Amino acid sequence: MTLVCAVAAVVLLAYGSIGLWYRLTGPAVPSPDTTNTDPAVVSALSTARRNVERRPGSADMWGHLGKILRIHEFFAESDICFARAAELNPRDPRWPYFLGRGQRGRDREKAEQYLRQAVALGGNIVSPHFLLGELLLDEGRIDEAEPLFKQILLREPGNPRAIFAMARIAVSREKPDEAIAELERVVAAAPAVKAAHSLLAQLYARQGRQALANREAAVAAMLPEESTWADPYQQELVAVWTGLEARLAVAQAMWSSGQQRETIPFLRDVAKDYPSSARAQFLLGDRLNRLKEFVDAEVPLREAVRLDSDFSRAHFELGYSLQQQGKVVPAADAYRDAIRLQPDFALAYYDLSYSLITQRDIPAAIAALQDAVRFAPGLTPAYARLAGLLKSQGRDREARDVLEQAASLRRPSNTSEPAQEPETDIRPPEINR
Amino acid sequence: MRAAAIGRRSFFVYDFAVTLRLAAAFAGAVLMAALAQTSRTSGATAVQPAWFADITERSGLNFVHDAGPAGTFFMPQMLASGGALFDFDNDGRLDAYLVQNGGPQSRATNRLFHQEANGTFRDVSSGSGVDVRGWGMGTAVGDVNNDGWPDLLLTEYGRIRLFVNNRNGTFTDISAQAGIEDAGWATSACFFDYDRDGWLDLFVANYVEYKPQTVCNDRAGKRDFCGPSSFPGSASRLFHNAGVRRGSGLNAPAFSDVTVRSGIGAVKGPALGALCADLTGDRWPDVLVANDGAANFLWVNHHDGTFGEEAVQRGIAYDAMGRAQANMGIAFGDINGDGLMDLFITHLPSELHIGWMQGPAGFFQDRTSAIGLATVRWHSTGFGTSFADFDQDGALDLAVVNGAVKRLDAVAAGLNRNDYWSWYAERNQLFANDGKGRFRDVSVDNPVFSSPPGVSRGLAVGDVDGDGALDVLVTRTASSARLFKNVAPARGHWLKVRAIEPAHGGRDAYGAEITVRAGPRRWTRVIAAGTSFLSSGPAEAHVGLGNVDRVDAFDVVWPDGTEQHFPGSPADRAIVLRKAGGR
Repeated sequence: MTLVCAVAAVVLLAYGSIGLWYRLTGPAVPSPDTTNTDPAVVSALSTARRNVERRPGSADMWGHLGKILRIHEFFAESDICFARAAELNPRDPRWPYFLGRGQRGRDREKAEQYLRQAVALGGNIVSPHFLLGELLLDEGRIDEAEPLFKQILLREPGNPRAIFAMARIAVSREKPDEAIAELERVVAAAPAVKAAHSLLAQLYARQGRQALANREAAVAAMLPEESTWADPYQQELVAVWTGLEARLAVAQAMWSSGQQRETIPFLRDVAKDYPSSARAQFLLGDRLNRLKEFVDAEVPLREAVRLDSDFSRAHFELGYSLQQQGKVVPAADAYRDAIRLQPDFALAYYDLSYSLITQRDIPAAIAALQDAVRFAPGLTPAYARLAGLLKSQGRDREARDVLEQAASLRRPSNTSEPAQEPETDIRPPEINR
Repeated sequence: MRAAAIGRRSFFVYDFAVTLRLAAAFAGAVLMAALAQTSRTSGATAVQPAWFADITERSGLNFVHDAGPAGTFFMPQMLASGGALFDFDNDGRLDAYLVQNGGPQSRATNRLFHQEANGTFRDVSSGSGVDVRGWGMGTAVGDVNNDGWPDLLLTEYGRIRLFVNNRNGTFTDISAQAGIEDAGWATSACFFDYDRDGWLDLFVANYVEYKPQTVCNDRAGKRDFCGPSSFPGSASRLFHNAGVRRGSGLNAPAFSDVTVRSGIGAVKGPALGALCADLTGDRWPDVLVANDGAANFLWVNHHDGTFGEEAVQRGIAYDAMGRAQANMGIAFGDINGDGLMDLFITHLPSELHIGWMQGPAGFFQDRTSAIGLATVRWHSTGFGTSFADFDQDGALDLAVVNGAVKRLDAVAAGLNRNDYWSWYAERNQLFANDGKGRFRDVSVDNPVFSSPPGVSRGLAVGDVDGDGALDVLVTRTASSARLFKNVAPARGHWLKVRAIEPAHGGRDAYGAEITVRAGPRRWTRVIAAGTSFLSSGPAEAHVGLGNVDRVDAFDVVWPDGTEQHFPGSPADRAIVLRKAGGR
């Protein structure tokens, strides 16, 4: 018994000593200023901090805290955690990778050092190779960058991001034909890579192949700006993003990926968890409007304008839901509220005109449409409606002028943008975040 | 060392001299490493004399920018405001106009400063007609009525205003009479004669369809300024100037909004910077638009009143990796002396400020690393920028002013963020051209210009004190504008060249391309007053000549595409070239 107690005491002492050693030799657990921070984020940080305090020798605990800090934009504090994680587990490439990624905008030399460490540690994930290679490419160090991309291509011969980088290298070496061949491989494998189409357009144009250049530029113009390259390490950060902003972003992503019906219950939960958030109510109402569930949409939109009476887009969406239910008078009031809050809200003028036409107030509808095109000269459907109303009032000459303006909007030219077609269901852009 | 030697005395004997030698070797290695690091990032190995002295206080240019109340996160605060260096009274000395952003209810009005004969500035705002208040953004200067006196355009959040010069030190707002209206968020603007009818037309860049009620948070839910992705981009505006109406008491030209007809209204974008100049080599002016977080636009002039967007094909839409960046201010000039104008656009610190070299004519390529701008001492959020030959060695140098748009990380930056705007303060940058189009970061050699962190926005370059060297005016959000006098030692020779069109009232020939020849050397400059960001400089070409004390000839391509050659001149003077009439 005595022996058992003695052994237990020794073990406990050793364990305590190790813990104490980690505490004394390691950095203090970062405690960022969380004033005005989303309670869900504060809670996630507290849990992660507690875990680090419980297990100060765990690289994973430090790394997890670092990830939570980084994704919520506590950059300096996240660096402390990743650096400690790297000390505790020098074999894990994620920690120098995150450190390097964070340093890119501040100290590119340090970023390079960290990324080289991450590359040297190997692993199956090639994110560090890409980031380091692209950093070197930015600096014109193509001979150093090239082996990194070749390494990736040895593993994944069809990797479009690596092929694109090789095309960039060919451009730098003034080998346009080689670059074009590489880029054609990229667009064949990944047609949504805007950068590849853009660079192809540029290279074709420089060779005088104008038709091909215009074709590629037109394709590029239709693709979204954001990069499509996946980064598994970055996904680890996104996975720990929490709070209202994260949930709204998830909702947007679900919607964009076609899970539109599934987005609604998700947003209902968000609105329930954040009852004072006008944005959550707005997004729910807006999405219901898009699904043409106008009666259901009215409720959260009324709540959104109650919570934030200055929310012009919520008034606008409320107007739309009311209008679609045939409630044209309150709809017009909602549009007027939106315009009062945002006097250049072209779409509100446009939709107001519809309510006014229904109420047979044609002069007011004409005025609203004139404002719509004044504030949004590219709003092509407004011209047609305006011309029609002017004609109905016997103002033929003005109607002709308006149609001429509309026609000039659609004049074909050798632009990179395709000619605009009238939209049938004009909606405001996606809410941010 | 002594302790280490204790048990191995026979192997290691303590020797003070060895210790000293080892210490010296270690110190030398550390020093070499430090020097190697310095030279890698900048190419510099020794501190060079500074190029600028801050003369704001003694010049009397007493202007403090009102950004409006702190903590409202009203987005126009984040970008404002700029200013102009121009000679509004034609007395041969540059005056200054500085823009406020306190809003229509603010007590702070825009200020007009007249430069006196002794080189100091006197505030002549009161009664000038341009001492207006609003959410002011920037300026563009041009003689819109061809009377030989510079007029002034003011861009604001929510409107633009055109002030015609009354030739007596005052201005009159003729926006309504002239048909100038833009209810969007106007940022940079430039005057140019796109249809060669002799009247200056106007391009106005519009930013986003901002909704002030929109609340933006960072990922942790903390409020901060919105970014451009929160709102749809705007259509920029093009106004055609049909000339002065006969009998117009105000001498007001008639503008018409040709945004739609010209094709420029067909594509929207978050436009911040604008440059009106020939970028395709056909001698017709085009328009480059720097879009924040989106592809740039290059509106190519079709010679029939319409424009087509060709930025992607011409290589100026994206950086070399095909990434759309946060494009803000624009610098424009021939940095390698090949006669083709190159471009530089400022960006966010997570990106790079990008240099695009032109070649062949009309095509651009991101050559940031090749021109030495990828490895700089620090990365910041750039706004105003200009190519200018500050040391007059014959090669265009580069100035960049910076200031963040999102709260900076105080811990990482090691800065004491003691007030609201200091969270956004960053240092400015200067780069010296080695004569072959490669830049060396000389920011640390210029602490007066570069080191005090600020939220800098506008930058205008001009020879303020008339000594032939280019001085710099910097505007800063919620802080004082700063005037930097060029004190670069051992400056080379210089010429200042104005190109005048007598047939158009003796106004400056916006868009004229001037090539100065001296033996085998050539310097090409374009009269383009509206580069940088929200700012306007004088409509003249400044040429640093190095040790060349006389030039052989001036070749001018006038805005109407005609060429004219003028005889040479000794250096170190201001030259006026008049179209068709000789100098």
